[in-house]
Amino acid sequence: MASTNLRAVRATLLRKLNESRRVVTDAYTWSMAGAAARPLISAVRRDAMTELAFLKAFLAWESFLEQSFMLYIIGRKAPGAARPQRYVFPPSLTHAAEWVVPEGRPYATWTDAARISARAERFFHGGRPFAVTLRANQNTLEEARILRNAIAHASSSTQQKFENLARRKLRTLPPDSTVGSFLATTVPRSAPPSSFFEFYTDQLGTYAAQLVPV
Amino acid sequence: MADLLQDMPDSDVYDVFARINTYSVVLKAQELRNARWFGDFKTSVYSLANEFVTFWEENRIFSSKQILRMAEAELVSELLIAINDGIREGQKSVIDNFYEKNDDVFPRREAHEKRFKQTIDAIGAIFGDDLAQSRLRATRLFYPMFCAVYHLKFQLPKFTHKRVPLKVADFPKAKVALLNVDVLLDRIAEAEDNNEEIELARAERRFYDAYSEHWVHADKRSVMAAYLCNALVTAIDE
Repeated sequence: MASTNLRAVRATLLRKLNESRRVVTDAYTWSMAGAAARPLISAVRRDAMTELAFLKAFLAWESFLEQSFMLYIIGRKAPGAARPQRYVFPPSLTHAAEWVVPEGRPYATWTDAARISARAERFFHGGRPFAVTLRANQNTLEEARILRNAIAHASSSTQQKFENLARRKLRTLPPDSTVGSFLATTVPRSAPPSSFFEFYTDQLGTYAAQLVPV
Repeated sequence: MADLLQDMPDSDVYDVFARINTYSVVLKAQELRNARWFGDFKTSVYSLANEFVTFWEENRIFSSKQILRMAEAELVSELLIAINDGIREGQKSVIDNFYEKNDDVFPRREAHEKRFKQTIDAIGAIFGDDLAQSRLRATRLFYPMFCAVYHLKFQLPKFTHKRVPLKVADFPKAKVALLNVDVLLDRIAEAEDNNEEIELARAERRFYDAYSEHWVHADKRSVMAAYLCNALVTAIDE
């Protein structure tokens, strides 16, 4: 059931991001050979687990965006920020959910940062708090979306976009690359060293803190 | 801004650039091609050049200033021409003619792009972080190296050098073989600095002669590509 306060919505996202991180940590622990034992899982399974953990993290982010958007639209306030100025006053969450669905579409999507920013500008003065944070971080969010799509859809277009992203980040695409192996790669020049999985999930947590300050 | 020139007659395009060139920085040949062509080959070149922008910059093949002047797009053009036609001279007219001939349709575009990417990916995987420190990053050596690696993977047109399969497991051997070129060039440079004679094998001498003079000529490029190909084949066959 959806939360009815913004603090809880943010806490849920952070908890789910942590769960995803733990899945990846487990996958790596199980895939390493111990002193006397063989690895419990293969590298292929480890990468598949990493992909699923990332997909769950991104779905949690989409859910966070949707729920926080709805709560702001019905006039809720984040503990650490002023109430955003609304253009609409839906009487309930159900009405709010119906109102944000674009005309001619069965539902609103919460994947594309540019679309959500534009949507926020239709409902809130200056699109606050969504448009500012999402537009300022649109590149990173777009990269995360490319990875999410490459995991969720096995099309040549999503694969091509993933390969393009990997080449921009790593210079070239390493042999036998998958989204999972890419997510496990250390971000070049990151200090302290962190993987792309950690980078993107950390960023989602940071953006959530900006959207719902407590 | 250059894209605004689309659909203008050639004479108008030339007129605009004649005026720009009179009062400002002279445009490079590739910048003029970018303004003149809008078709299949050009879009292929720029999408590949853009996809590998981190590769060009971080391996110091091109500086950001050179990329701004489209130097990387010119190299990509030449490499695609090599994939299609075999090794050609690095001459403005050769590239211009290819743009003109392949503007409507660039035959086998998808296959060429895929192979181009796989070849650059292989070069990246072979060198890791060491290409930026190697002389092979210079375009005069990068071109024949690309041709040699491409030849092993897919067979370069009109290039008959012996091939062996280049597998991921062979990449460490391939790296040593390619970095030996650095060792050779360092030895020669040191000897020249000290005014000393250096004894070189016939193939090494031919390679160095091709490298040091008129290196954009097709025959010199072929000599260098053959030398690098031979170094790779020998290392992998060992």
